Amino acid sequence: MNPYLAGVFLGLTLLASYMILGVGLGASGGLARLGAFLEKLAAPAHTANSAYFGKWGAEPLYYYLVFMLGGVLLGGMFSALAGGRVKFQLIKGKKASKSLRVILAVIGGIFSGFAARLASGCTSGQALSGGAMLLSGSLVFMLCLFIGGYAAAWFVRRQWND
Amino acid sequence: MFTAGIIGFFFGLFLEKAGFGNSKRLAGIFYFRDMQVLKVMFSAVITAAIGFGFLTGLGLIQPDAVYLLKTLYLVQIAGGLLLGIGFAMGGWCPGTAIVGTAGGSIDALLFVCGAIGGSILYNELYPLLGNIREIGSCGVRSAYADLGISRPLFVTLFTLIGVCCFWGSELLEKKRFGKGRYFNSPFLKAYSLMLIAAAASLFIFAAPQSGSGMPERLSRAAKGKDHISAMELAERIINADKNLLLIDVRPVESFGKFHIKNALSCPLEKLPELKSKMKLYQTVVLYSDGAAHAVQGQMLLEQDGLSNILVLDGGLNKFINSCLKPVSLRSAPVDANTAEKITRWRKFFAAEN
Repeated sequence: MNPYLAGVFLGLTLLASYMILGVGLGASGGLARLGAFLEKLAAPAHTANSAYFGKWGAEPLYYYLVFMLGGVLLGGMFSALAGGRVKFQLIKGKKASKSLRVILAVIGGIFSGFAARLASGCTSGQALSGGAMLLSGSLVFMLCLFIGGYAAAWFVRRQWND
Repeated sequence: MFTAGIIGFFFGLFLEKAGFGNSKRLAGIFYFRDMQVLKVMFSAVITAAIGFGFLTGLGLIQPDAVYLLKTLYLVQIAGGLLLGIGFAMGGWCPGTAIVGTAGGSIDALLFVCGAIGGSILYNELYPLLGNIREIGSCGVRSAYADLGISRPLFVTLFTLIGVCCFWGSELLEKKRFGKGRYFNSPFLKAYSLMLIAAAASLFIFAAPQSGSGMPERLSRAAKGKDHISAMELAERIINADKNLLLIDVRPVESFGKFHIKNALSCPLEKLPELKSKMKLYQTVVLYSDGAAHAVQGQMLLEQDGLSNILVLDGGLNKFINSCLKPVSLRSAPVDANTAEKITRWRKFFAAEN
């Protein structure tokens, strides 16, 4: 699809979210709640007493962001299937090492998960939703995201070597 | 919940249609190899910002009916940088990683697992962070208000920057890789013009000083959102709420005779001098003996663009009557809970009399 149109549709989806739910979109929040759920399985007392996860109570998964995340998964699946873009693969540069890609994907994930909790949002919640609402902090977040990305990109470029 | 799921469905669908189910493509922006992220994200933000302007302008949505993220500069800067690093490293961000997993990408699944782990790590380190999180905390802040310009102007400038970025991206892709198929295309020309026109037409909704904006303002007043009760104020002052600024707008001599503890003295005519200070607080409460002067102050400040001003309901008179009048002197009996509160309030606010 034309990237600009895709962007417009994303913007309209965001508006629908504000109109119908009264809140913007989010992704990291749902993942964090999955984390709370898993930690609860492993160490229920500790999780219930933690200052952060403890606030989410006995059923962290019963929250709109978790349902939204489920929707994102299904929507992505539907679109990928419809476009014939489903492929079980490790995306990387042709000449890049598999293990390098694996390590970077995991560590990148850890950094992102932590950062999103710190800032109370990720690209979807802070940059996209907060940015669309023209909130000062969210726009600054977006700027810093690109600064951080460009700064780090050179060091990890080898994983995309073709 | 179900509705959130449906909205999420379309979110995921359009993310995938935008090509965001591929980490190599996503990471491309950081190497100026693929500007897809810029085109999609900027388009989305501009569309939503313009759209929201129309929705509020047409009265289809109340601006205070939506949840807005607070601005906390330290964690948003640190979090933004770290998330950017994670994005460049992993080739995903949380939302796109879910879409990538849906498409079968193993690295996306690894990223998601990492992100869940990162969230757990945050939970474990949370106590150590303590009050660092609050540094640079300023409540809900609009960028256009912070810059001192109107919303339509901000959106129009933002749109212009976006359009320049679109053309620049296409040109870059064309020069470097012979791609950039939208450069100079009829589509991009039409799209750019449409966006700029839509943004500029938001100026129609700009409320003049008097008149429109009044229904909204009256509705706020009717819902009680423009004032604060004596009891709530008492509790917040006792709890040393750092986000609240209390201002006594009576003459200085009245302030000297008695004032609510922790209030700042600023006679009505001098209120404009405190405007920049007021912008730093989430809530500013004005009070006078009754309410007339405080309300006048509130109206003037709101005309000047401040939106965080509340008036103490019933003024100092009601505050003294509801919070400080001894239980024995009251005409109506009070329950034990309230009696205990009154004792506390008297101790805090009336002690120095």
